[in-house]
Amino acid sequence: MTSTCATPLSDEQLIAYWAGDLDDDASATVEDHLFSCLACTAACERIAAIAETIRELIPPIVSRDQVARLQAKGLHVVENRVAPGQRKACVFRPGTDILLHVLHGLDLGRIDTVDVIVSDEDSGTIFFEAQGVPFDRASGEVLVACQRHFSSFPPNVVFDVRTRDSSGAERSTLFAIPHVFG
Amino acid sequence: MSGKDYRRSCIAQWDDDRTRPNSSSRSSTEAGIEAALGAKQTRVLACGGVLGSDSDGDLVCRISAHPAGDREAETELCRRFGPRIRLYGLRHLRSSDRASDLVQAVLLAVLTAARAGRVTNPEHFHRFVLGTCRHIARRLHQGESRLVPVGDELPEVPVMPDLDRVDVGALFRCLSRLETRARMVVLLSFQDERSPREIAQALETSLGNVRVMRHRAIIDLRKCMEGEP
Repeated sequence: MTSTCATPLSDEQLIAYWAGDLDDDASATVEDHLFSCLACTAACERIAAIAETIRELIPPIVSRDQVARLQAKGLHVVENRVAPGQRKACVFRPGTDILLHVLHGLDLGRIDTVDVIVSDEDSGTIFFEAQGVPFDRASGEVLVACQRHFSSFPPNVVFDVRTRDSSGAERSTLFAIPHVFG
Repeated sequence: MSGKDYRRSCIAQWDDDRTRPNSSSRSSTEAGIEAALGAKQTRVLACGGVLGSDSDGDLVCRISAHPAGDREAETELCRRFGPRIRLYGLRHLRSSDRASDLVQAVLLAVLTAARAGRVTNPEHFHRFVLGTCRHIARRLHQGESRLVPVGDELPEVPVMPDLDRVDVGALFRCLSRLETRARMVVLLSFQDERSPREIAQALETSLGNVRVMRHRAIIDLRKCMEGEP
């Protein structure tokens, strides 16, 4: 077992391995190599760290079913209901795992798709866009699962909920939520 | 490490034919693993010659040569193999807890085998560890929950790779910087566990393109996480 490798596994092989995209023989070959090679194990750990963290990430926009599953796993979920156009500050208190922003009052009855754009209220910088997110037609709700690691974003956040119906007509509804992480 | 040369090599062999596999379809590795996991074996251990480094084989020999085990050698083997067993567990069992169970069970099994001199080819110890991983992971898949007997002990060594140290906030920010389709490929691959073919259909692109996007996206994420532009 060596700390350098004369025939290292490629990134392509390691990524495909972690994505479950290798057949049994190719997968076994990768594992045989990993178990005899410290250098490739270290390379594999770096890719595994990213892949496994992505696998365990809680999506920022969730459905009620997903919320129920998270609660069943023991996560403490606190709801924060926000109406369209409202600017409502919230505090992410210690002991809270997920601060669930319930963006309600949306007319989603005839909506086909919903996208959510999250941006900095002050600079307008877009943090991320979530396309084709889950939504509840009956209750008119979109659920944002705010998580503690989001504290690395600027605190004054605007959620732009963009809906599109079958005719292609689009509508934008803003929810401004300044955050304080306790 | 000349000062630590060990004037021995080990040839451990099975001397109890009754415990050898009867079926020709079972490999010697499988038989060895089953033995390591519980079958009663006796062994012949012959040591001689010179080994000039602390190879896996050296460490196995040291452990075999001491009836009570060799704590230092056992710790070193755990340090070497713990992380890769855990990686194997994460890849195949998809659960951090079950991966940790696998680490404990496999290390205990292979150290027990080493202590008893039941490792047939110490210089290829890594193959024995991998085979044991596969064997125990299959048992975990089949629903066995308790694989480490209460009371058995392993050396206290750090065996966890750096997975727990990932800055989730940074990863989230890096994900948000990916081009939308690249981000979708990553999330569909690793969160939804969709096959490349399914992703290609969903994104109306080719299988090859999905693989290229996935590869580039992970490399971009890695660079982003490591602070590279």
